[in-house]
Amino acid sequence: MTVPTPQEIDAAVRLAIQEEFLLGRRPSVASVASTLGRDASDVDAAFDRLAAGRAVVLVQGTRDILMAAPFAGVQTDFRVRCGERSYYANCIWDAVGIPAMLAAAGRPSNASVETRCADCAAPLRLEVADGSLRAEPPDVVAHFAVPAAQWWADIVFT
Amino acid sequence: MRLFRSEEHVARWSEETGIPVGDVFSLDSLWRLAQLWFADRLSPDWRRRTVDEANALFAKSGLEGAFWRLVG
Repeated sequence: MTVPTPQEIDAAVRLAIQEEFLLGRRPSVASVASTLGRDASDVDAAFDRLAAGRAVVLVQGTRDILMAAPFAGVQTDFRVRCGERSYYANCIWDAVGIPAMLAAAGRPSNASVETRCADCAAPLRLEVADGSLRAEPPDVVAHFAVPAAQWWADIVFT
Repeated sequence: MRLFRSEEHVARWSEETGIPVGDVFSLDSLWRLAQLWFADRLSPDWRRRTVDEANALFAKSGLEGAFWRLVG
């Protein structure tokens, strides 16, 4: 039996995290270990390596997932509904990234995104249908406050 | 990255919070960026992009200039 390399374990863990989010659940070390049939200690180490490589962001001092883009591990202002399921995303880029990711994988991807204007808190809604993105109201704009070179100084605020 | 009702709302938010306006862009650019950025996220072969790959992807999405330039 071939022993998987750390890189192979990390790839399997990363994918299991994404797939569990798609089921509408927040993945944990225990749930991913169970899905993959691996020891929790292997998955602990993979979570740490994935965090070090910025593939996931963990809540400080824990292995709880804060971000596994496009998914958020906590409630946010970016709610995505797709079929029977709903998800939280980290920002508007990630929110529309969920249907974009699903479409690229050949999966059902029609979705709605509910958020609020960051200025006036008015509800804003985006619809992804048949590969197109539309907004209500139609003149909404996206805004990035932080230049790309500084994103990782505080990845929660960009 | 947040959504605003219009560019006027971005300007008002900036004035009220004291946070400078960064880059404002259209939904078309946002959608192109998301489609390119997340295209491989469910692939077992996904890996984090290099700085050069990310910069090329931003340019392909129509997001150019110093604001969108990652540095290694």
